[in-house]
Amino acid sequence: MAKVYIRGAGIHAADTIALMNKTGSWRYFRPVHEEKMPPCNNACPAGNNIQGFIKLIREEKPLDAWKLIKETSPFPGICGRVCPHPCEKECNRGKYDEAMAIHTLERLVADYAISEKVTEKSKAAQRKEKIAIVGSGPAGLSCAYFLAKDGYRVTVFEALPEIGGMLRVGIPKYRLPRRILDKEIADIKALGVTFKTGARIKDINELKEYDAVFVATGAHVSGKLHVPGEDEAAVISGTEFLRQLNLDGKAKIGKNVIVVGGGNTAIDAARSAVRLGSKATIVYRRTRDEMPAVEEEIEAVGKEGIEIIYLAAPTKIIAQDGKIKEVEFVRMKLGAPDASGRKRPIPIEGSTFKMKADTVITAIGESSDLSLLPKDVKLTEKGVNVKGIQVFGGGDAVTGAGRVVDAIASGRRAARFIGNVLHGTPVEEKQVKELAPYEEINTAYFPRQAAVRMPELSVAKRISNFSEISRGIAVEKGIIEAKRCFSCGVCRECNNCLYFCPDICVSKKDGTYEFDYEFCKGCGICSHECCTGVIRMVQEAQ
Amino acid sequence: MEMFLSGNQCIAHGVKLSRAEVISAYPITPATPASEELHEMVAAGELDADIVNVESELGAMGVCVGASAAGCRTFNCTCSQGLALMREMLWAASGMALPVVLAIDSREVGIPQGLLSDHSDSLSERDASFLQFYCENGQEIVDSVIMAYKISENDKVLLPSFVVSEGHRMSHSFELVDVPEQAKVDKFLPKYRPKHVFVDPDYPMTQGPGVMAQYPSFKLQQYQAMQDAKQVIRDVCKEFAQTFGRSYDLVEAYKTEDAEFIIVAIGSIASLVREKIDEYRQKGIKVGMLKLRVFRPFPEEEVKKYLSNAKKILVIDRACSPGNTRGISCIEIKSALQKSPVAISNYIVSGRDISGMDIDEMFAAWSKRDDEFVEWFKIGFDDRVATISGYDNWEKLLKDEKVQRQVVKEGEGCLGKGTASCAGCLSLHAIRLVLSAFDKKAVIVNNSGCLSAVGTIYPLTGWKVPFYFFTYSHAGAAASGMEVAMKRKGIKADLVLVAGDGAIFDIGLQTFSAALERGHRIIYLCYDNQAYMNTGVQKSGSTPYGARTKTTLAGRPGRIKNIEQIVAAHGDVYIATASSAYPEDLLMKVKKARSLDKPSFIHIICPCPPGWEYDPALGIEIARLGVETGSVILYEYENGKLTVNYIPEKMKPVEEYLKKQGRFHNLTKAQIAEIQKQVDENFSLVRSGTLV
Repeated sequence: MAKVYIRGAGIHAADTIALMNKTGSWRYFRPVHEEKMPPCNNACPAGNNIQGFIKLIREEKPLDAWKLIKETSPFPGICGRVCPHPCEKECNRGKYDEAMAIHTLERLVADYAISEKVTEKSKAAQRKEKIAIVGSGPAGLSCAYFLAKDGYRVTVFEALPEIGGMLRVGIPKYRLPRRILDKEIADIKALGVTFKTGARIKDINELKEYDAVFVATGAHVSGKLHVPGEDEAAVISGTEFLRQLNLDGKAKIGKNVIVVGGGNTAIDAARSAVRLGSKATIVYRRTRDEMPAVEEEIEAVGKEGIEIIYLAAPTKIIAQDGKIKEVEFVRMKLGAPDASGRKRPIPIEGSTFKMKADTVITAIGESSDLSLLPKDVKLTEKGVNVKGIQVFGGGDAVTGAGRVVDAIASGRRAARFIGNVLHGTPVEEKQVKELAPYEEINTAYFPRQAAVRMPELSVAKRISNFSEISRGIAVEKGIIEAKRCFSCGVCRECNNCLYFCPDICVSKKDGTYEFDYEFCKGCGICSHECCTGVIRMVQEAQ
Repeated sequence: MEMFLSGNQCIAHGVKLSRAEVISAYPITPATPASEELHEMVAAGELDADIVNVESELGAMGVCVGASAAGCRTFNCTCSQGLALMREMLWAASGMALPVVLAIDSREVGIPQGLLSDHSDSLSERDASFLQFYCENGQEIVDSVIMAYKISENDKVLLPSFVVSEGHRMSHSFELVDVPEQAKVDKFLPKYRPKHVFVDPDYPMTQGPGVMAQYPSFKLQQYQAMQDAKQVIRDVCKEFAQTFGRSYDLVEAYKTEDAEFIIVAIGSIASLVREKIDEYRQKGIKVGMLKLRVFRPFPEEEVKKYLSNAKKILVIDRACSPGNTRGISCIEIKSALQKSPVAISNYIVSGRDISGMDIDEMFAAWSKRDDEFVEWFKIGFDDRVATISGYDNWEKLLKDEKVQRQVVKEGEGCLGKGTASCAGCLSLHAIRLVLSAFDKKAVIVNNSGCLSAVGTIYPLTGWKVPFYFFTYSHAGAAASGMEVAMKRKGIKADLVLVAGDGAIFDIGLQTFSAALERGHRIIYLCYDNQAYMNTGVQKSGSTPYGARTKTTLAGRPGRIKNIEQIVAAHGDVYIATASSAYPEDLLMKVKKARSLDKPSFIHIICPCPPGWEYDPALGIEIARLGVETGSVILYEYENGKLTVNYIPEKMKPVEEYLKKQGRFHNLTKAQIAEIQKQVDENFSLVRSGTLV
């Protein structure tokens, strides 16, 4: 073979240095992808993939975001209005400037889907089993939704003339417009669920032809005050008042209303009374810190001219000729915590006072009516055999009065248990992953920016009607807000690892990032600059 | 006192004991640790000397010559490229009769850049009238440095000296050495008090004048001094033996009295040869060795004396003089023994490490031959070195698949994987990012620095565009030459000079400035890691105030070079600063430079994990902090107009930037406050249009 000798000190047709110099052999640490649990996802009782749906909004795909929420909750439009959003408390962005407006974004995508007239069709093959659901509140509807998506034939029995449970007869229209409720219920109907209204089930045996029954009758039985004068006509429970108002469009109350209680029902009642033209005062036996109502509701009460009197409880309702004249109260002080974990209120001797009133609305807690079942049956989501009927339970009926989101989660869990009992389909396991801590977010890549604000009707405009107070935001604003999301513990495709690796060892293929371990020197820059903390440096085996 | 020392440490101890007064040495592998050791000795108060950190080897020798001319005992240490660069000053030193001692950790002189130890650097300066002492081991290094001062400073000599040891082979290996006591050395080597050159306003003299016809007489002085040096060396060695108990001479004759075969060796190889001689003697072979300890003055008498009875002589050489078939010491041996009919054969081993088996092979081959031969030992045309097999014409070569693989495709980076830079090197990152904006049409000229050493390891290269490495100091000039030639040949490509801060601020400033002044259309990319990182973290003109380096152990003192102002002083140049943490900003500036038909200077501040002393993962964060604290300002400057590209909303205190880097850990609160003040001043200066 003829050889040509080339003079000088050049490298001509040489192979690239990469063939010989496998710098990966230098490493002590290697980068690995390790996703963690976003704190918002972890905090959501329904297990919504909040990080996921916000990412889709960020990518300008609001309908895909809506579809993602629908995988774990049928009611983004509802929750986006009434949920107390525990997710926002855990949001890591809150440690930096302001928590993400997750609540607002959930509502945004739901409203968008409504405006685009998008609905769902079930893709699952029809199953032969029939399931009965007693109660059309959020737990019952959620269970129906997930079962129907899975192909089961579902019938929902509702005692009242309208579907929705507390969503219909409890929560006021200014918080939850009925067209939103109707649309999200229509989504469930579109999956083939049958509804029977005005159909109270008095005995579980009525449903023995069904392969499984889900009891979600809620908690509608109001607690009693146990004070003299309680049986006057003008003493009405908060749930009764709201039911009348929401079903009939009107309710009989006077002009000077005292609402006893500190939960959402008390506040809904007070604010509704004001919209009917009455004056309302809330009296609560503990302090604001112990009030179970949602914070935003308590704030709204102040704006709408409703006084809250703390640390007081009624002792006597004084009536004359069948009309309430006054209510006597005693002042309270807080002692040691009671069974609920809150400090027990103790009456202060000799501290009674009177207030003028013509109506008393009691909203001191609700309990469940489970008379359709035998007395010794303990309802659970996992199910119990009652005389040959597989009976499952969920929502307020099992847990006592809770949030809509808890009911939704309960309904879905029960649906999975039902599927497991009937077909052995696996029950969803809650993912066990480390929580993504704030410390691992590289905040240098996030300029400080306040959360988007939801515009509201002014007090003057809202106070005499039941129009929705929150006005919603435009999609464009939602996308800007979505860009604030750290995407804690889940890759955000910021490309920092790709741009900053000095050795071209990070490449991107189909949205996933790969490390070239043949050449990666383990410097750790990718891990440190990763804005969501999903790259961990792991020590190489010796 | 017995100590376990490296060759470089031996040099330092010799210099310390000799009480050198002014030291100047420029970092160069593998000699750098010798001067770093001296820095530590001075910092610890063990040596009272002024160490001048300089911008190049020319500067180092210049400082020594100047200090020696004023009457101080001086020291310098270098090798290879450095010795070549200071050549002019070598002749100045010997011409002015200045007894400077220069330690050489011998190393091959590039191109190509090599790291083996041969003698091409020291022996190629054999005409410069420096005495040349060759050390076999660490002990000899310590002793030779001390003796060199005494010999050089002797009135009959007054010539500078090389004390040559072998780079890496000796400089970086450790031995037990008997380090003499200071008191004894002081007695042996008195203070330097020259009579022939000094500075005294009351006694003005002119040194270094031009001559008309008298040059030959001055040369004769040097010539004679070299001759006289021989006896001085013998006398000093005798006195050394009396004081310290170790005997030296111009040569060492080992078992030569009855030897039939004699091997002539220089340096560390002599240790091996001596052992082998004992081994061969066991077998009854009458073999001996003549070690040349002094090469200049050449020990002609000793050579004649000890080699006259040999039947065969073998000279082992580590340097050759192309044009003459023999190695350099063989030429001189032959010249000394010109009247002898004995066959004097020669193996040229260059810088290769020689083992016992190699000596066996040499000896076996040599003993079988009666002719006088000259051969390169086990060095041939490496198939990889300069061969393209199977091609007998260029066209075929250019179409070869291997060549095609190297050529960068659209959108692909110009520098591939497998680059041997440190983990987390942000200079590599910056240059890679910059080159990604260049597509195929880039030609890179480079001078010594971190990036030149890591991009290619013969016979492989990571550069996918034409890449030309010249020396440390000449890239500005070489780039200019390339630019002119490319224009003549109609080659359309961006000519890019990729250089570190050492090259741009210090050693290459001369050629860089001239290239700017001539207005060549070159894009200058300075990756500034703020010190000489390639040689192990020594201070450069760009090192910030207070930073610790091996040559500024107490933190870099004030007076920083303002390179942007220097560049701007050269007329219409597009100037931009950049940071590794702001890639988009950097790319914008590079693209702008590409679009301009005039020189551009892009100055990128690149954090360096070992040099700035931080965990490599923090590099981008530190770069960002530099900008967020105002220590690094991102701006562009063109035709008198300064545009600041980024002003942090809220300036962070500079301490946040400083405390993340180990090199600033010795700063006092007062120093940090001073830095904060300077940063604030600089920022407002820049905002008002002044370059900083």
